[in-house]
Amino acid sequence: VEERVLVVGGGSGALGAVEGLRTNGFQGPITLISNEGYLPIDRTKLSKALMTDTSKLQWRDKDYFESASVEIVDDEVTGVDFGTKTVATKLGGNYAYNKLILATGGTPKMLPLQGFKVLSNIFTLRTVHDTKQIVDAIGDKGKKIVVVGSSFIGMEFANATATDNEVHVIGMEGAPLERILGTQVGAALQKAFEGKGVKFHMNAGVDKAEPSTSDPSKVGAVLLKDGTRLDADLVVLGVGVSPSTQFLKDNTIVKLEDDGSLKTDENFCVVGLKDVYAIGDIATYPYHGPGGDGKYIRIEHWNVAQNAGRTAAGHIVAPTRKPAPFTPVFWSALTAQLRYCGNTIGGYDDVIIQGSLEEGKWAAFYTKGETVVAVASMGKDPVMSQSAELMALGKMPRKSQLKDGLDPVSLGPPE
Amino acid sequence: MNPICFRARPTPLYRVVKPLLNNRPAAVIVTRQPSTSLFGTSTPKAMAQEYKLKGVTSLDLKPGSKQEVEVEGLDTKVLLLNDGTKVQAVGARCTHYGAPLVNGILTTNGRLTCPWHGG
Repeated sequence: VEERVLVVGGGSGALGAVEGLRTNGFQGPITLISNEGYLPIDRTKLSKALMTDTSKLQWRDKDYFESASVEIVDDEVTGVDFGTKTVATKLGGNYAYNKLILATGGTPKMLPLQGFKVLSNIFTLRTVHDTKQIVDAIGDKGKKIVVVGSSFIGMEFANATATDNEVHVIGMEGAPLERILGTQVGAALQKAFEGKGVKFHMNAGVDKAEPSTSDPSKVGAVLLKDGTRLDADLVVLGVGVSPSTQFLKDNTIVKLEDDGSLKTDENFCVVGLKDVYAIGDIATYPYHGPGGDGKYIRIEHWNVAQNAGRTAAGHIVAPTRKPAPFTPVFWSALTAQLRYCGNTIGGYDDVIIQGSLEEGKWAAFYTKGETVVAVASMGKDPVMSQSAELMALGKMPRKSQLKDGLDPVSLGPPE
Repeated sequence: MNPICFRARPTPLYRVVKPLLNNRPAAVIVTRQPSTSLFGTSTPKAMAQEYKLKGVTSLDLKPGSKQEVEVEGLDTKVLLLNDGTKVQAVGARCTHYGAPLVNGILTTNGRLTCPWHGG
């Protein structure tokens, strides 16, 4: 029986799924429906480098998908009938599937505050369309830019624009990226950014956005709750994303999690549904990495989406094969390159730092008891990649060894 | 084409064919694989060509070990590695951002990951 796979979404997870299917010998038809208007891209380059040329951003060209017999449909899915196994689209299409892979990604959150919904030159950053608008608004540079949110999107955008513009970052935390990297590393990164001229407003709350006096349709300033007024030619919001599952909100068969995501098993099969997978930003899956204990987690990273896509593909091709565990990895451009692997879903109680935060050459080991649950590094390659492999094999050194100065790379090839 | 990083056993771009250990000066020769479609739908257009590896006289790499070497007659380097079953040669740079894979992590069973992004 020829099976038909339908992939909904066109990001990193979708590409991992499609390639995973074909490289594992899947012979049936594959259709990919994406509403982005271009082929799957390396989205990480949008916030890190503000790239807008889709021919340079796309992973593969049209010929590639044709040679792989992957049909690409430029449309948006509006609903799924899990009973008849069909998907309906905005343009009136109806697509049948035997296996459905949902990979619709995230939708950037807006701020439900005065001014933010009505004023122009306030942007979120997710697609090439967003980046084009932002680059146009920056124009010949020298702009006053206010970034709301001090996590990865906000910080990467600040990093990409700080040299030629006046950039202010507003964060609710005490130090940027504190929630993920901890206070110590966050403070060191803040210092490095300040060296590039970025101004920080931390432990701050946004009150409202005010119109520009010269053009009241555009934003002119952002006001903080403490009364601080930050003039702005443009505002970029990096305040998180929500799983893009609107098309399932009123579905009678599937129940979304509180955050709008879909709960899956280790193979990324949606719990309670047959032949349906969810991967990437919309998937809440059991995490079995160090300190995970199978806790359910949703990770919004490129590498995780791609590996989830490969895992789902592997399960479609060989349903009885055990999924290969992968360690979540991400990187970020934060004055220098930051690497990170693992996850702190189960919490951490200490951070062991090797090297020097001041000199920008360090590795931070996030530990819970004696277990290393996550590793961040700068200027210390390949500590992160080595740690990711050791974690996947259950062979990461213990906290006390690292405290005594053991370099994980000195352990040699992981086996 | 702009290939993606793959967390998988690397596809050999080159194949080590002749470790000529007894001749002096000794040399290791690789053949460059003719380009084929990833999905095996097209037929090879060219025969494999042979190239000498500069300064390589033996292939005594242990499983998980790797070595970056220059290729005579080509302006390129290859990464020799032992994937646990045999020594093979792959492109020296990651297909994602061009990271030198000699600095990457190779497990003793042949999983090669990039030093920059763990792909």
